Amino acid sequence: MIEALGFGLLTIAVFLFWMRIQKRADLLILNPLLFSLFCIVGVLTLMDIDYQRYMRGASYISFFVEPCVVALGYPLFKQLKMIGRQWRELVTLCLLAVFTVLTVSALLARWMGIEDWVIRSLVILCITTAIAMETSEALGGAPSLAALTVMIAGFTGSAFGMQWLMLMRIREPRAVGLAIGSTAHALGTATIARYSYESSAYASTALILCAIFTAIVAPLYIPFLLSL
Amino acid sequence: MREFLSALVGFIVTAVCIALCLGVGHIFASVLGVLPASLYGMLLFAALLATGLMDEERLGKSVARIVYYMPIVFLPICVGVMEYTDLIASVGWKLLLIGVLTTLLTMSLIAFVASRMLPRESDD
Repeated sequence: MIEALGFGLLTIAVFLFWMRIQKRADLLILNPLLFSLFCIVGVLTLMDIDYQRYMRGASYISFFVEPCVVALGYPLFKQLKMIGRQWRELVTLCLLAVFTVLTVSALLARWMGIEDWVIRSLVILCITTAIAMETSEALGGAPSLAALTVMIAGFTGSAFGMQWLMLMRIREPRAVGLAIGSTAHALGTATIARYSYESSAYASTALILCAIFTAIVAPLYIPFLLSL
Repeated sequence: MREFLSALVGFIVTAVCIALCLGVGHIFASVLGVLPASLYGMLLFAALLATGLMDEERLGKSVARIVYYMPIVFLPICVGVMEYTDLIASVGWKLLLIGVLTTLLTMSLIAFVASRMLPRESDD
């Protein structure tokens, strides 16, 4: 019980520490999530503590993932009228995102000589974990591998997305939100929500649309792509 | 003191609303499938706010606080990367490269197309 509480408090303390560092340094690149992850994994590895033991305490924190995702409905509500007027553009952009992710990831994996069953696991990387794992299983892949690649996509978008788009001189909040929501799913949306409600609303919309489209398109498109 | 109590009540009301939406989201997920419960809950939360049944201003202040600290809830799940050390050892760099390249490329494309495709906000 004490150990479990300790892991939970460690997680919170490390995250709050890196949040403070980022605020003081005023550098977006000092992503609290990324640096907290390095710290915690480092500590657990040094102390030879496995993930299951850590999760006994930290699971109290991850319990709040679902309620937090529901809370993202507020930024979505604030932009509902605007989003409703642009539904054609949003559907088109999300379909473009889905086909781009599936095609690029499959072709890159093929080019690197990765086996088919691994490809079927990793192509579903830019949507929320639960759907990624189910869709990957339907494709004949490994759900745990899908979860890993979803984490990579989420981290990439969350930790570097805004800076990357700034480098590309794209600052329009709706475009930023759609780009991050369609690739870095809930993790990216949660990160961007701290900076812009408008971006977050579009990210939430992209997150939902891309999840639905991927679940429908992937089982048909991926076998076709792999047969080429 | 009064302000603190008001904020606390607001937070409790928000938490109850979110919990109810999530509960209904679980029902939708078990009946309809396709999306996870939390996404159904998100849509329901937005829809309820749109009907005016919930106090938008009160909820907004509490949601702002939740959103500010939200990334922390994803941290334990992300630490789960520790479970994949064998996989990472064998094909890890390839997975990382594919994941990062696909994400950045798609992000760039969508941001570029969206910035040109979406009507200017003043046009709405």
